[in-house]
Amino acid sequence: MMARRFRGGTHPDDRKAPTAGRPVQPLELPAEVVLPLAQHIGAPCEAAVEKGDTVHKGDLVGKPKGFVSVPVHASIGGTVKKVEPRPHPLGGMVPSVAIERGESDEWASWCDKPQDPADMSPEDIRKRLLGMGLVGLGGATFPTHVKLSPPDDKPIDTLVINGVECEPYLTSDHRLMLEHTDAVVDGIELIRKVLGVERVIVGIEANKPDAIEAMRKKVETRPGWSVDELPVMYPQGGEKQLIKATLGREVPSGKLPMDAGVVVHNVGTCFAAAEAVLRNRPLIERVVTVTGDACENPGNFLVRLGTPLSNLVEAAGVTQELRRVILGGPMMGLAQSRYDVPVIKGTSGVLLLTGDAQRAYRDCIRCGRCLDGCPAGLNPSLLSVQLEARRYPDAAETNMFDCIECGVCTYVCPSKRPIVHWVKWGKGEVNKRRKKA
Amino acid sequence: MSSEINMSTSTAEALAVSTSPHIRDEATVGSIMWKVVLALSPALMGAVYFFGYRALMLAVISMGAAIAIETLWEWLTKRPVTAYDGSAAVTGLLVAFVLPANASLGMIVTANLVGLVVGKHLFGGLGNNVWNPALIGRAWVHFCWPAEMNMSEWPTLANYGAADIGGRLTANIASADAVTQATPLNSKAIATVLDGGGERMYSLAELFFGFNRPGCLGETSVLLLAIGGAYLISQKLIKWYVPLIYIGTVGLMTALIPYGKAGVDGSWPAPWTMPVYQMMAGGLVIGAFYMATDMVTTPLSRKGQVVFALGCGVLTASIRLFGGYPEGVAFSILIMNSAVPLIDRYTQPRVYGT
Repeated sequence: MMARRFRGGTHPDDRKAPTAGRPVQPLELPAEVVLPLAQHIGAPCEAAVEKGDTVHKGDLVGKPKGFVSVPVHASIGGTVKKVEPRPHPLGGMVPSVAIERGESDEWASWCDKPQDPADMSPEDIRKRLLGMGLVGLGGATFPTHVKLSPPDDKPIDTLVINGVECEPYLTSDHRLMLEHTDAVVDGIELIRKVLGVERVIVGIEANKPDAIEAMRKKVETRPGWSVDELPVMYPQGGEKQLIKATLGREVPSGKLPMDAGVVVHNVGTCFAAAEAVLRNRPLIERVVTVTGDACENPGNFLVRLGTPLSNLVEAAGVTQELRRVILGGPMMGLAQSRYDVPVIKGTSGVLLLTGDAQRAYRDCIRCGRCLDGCPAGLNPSLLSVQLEARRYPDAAETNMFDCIECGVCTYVCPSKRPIVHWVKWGKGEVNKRRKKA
Repeated sequence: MSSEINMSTSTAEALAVSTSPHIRDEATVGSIMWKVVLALSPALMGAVYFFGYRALMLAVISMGAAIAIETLWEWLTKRPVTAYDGSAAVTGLLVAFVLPANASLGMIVTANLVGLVVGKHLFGGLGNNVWNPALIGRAWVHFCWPAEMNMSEWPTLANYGAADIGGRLTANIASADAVTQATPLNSKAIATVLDGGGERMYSLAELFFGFNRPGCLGETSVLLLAIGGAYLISQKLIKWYVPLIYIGTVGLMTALIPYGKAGVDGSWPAPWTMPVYQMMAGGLVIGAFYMATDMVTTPLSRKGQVVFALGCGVLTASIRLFGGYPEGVAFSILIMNSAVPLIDRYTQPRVYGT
């Protein structure tokens, strides 16, 4: 057994077997897509189309506002039916563009043209990534061009590529590395070029030996590039944990990876970057793993953004025992209450699960599993006691804001205390009070 | 069948919604506590072998009393009844294990009553108690029944004499019936260890396996306690370094601090004899594996647990070497329990990136 490389963590059953061997298959085009104008962290877009407009696949439908913002493109060709608030997978109603599918699935005239990267400066690449709507596809959806614009006083020496996929169930990154190894590597090269670094480390967990082998063949021929086989341990795909695991460095508390001289990008983002920059294809689709113990035909699907959840559920089939639908992984994903929410840029998986949510909990028995498991080095036991009593300022003093909400503490808790839930709530309460002050 | 699932927009009541994580580890408070009971069962079987069926009866009565007392208390105070989660059973079993085989029913019930009500539920129940409830119960009984608990003379199986083991289920309830002999930590027994040339009252093998060794029900066999302890370590319910540091500290201190006098024939005992003897005698092994590792009443962090185990070791060795009392495990752990909030405060884990 390989020794763990970052503090804490836990080892849930990875539940990847049902989909790890399933090649990515395109999902049938939906009759309608709903494209929320906020699919990234940062300022939401402004609608670039109106009701009745005809759009082609790839056309701009949402214009970015501000630096930390990216555009949204039409994922199918057709007619704009409505621009109105629609249910969003992150909750609430968000202004969205609904497009009814037309006859043709042709790209817009400016899209899908081979490009020669040799002519491109780093600035060109960065602009293209912005123009194509690229965000981090690991789930955080932070605009890619922003991550690639470190200030001059923060020199970057290493690019770390996240192929860890530590969340149980999910296999979309795994399949990308296997099936599109060249495109992923091309994307890494583009990002490397923008940053101007020599050293590239691709981190992949040992439970994906075929992906490690495929990537090694393409990666390790390049000087300065390497694949790092990591012991399986959740949450190693967390940016800060991966930096520690691959480089032994820590990102200072409250700072960004660039403060440690590192930029981390997900393999899905690298694939999308290659598609965007080398083929002029805006980000309009992504690989989504649909699986779970209530799923009849689990698989990996290439899904157009804006496709309603119901289409994926129908394609994969569910059993009568279905009780929970989760977007994302089981450790950090978001439970859904309705089937009409769309797939967005950050949707890595759809979990169809049996069984009710854990609700009952009891007092902390101080077993210490959460302390041993916390990758951030916090005291979740104490935080849970403070937050249960709504002592929000005390929780802030107990380093609540260093919590990465990975869910390890709550997963391992024998008293089933909803610690992460309280922490999320507590952060909101403290922020509210700080704003008032 | 997917076609039968209603996917209209108004399915909010059909889907269960909650915050992440959406999967949970199987471990529950109950599974942990019953595993501790399981871990104690080799020592219980040993106790039955060493002390007869009376030991089994005491253990069962003690566990039953603990569960009954907790049920009653939670019912009277209108709190959710948690008496069957195994934690009361662990307390009951440990109470029986830290009392001698001739303990009366009154001692058993009193220890459970005080341990659970004063030691546990007045503080808010499981998780909120400062001291180990079983040891609170034992400490109380220690002062209420000083003669029975004086640690110098306790019965072994041989002392009962009668071959009729079945008869022992009902006989000998009164402590006076049993014939007693010096416990391994009694000054008479210690003197035979110090006497390098003489014959020892208890051999190291007897201490290790638990034969012919008077003591509390569950403390006599180092081997059987260690088997249960190894199980708990393998289940990741206790940390291996806590018993190691605790027992090791006692061994180290009893090795380094001389007993002050040579044996009766003027020769000193082999230097390793006393520490090995001390590490196996009395309640050290049961305390180190099952009480200094109690989740609720010991520090949260690894650093804190190390400090706690060291403190227990220093206190136990000090009481045994310099105190007027041959044992010291129960009081050492209770004293260190009191220091846990302080230890916790100064042994927080290091936050990532600081």
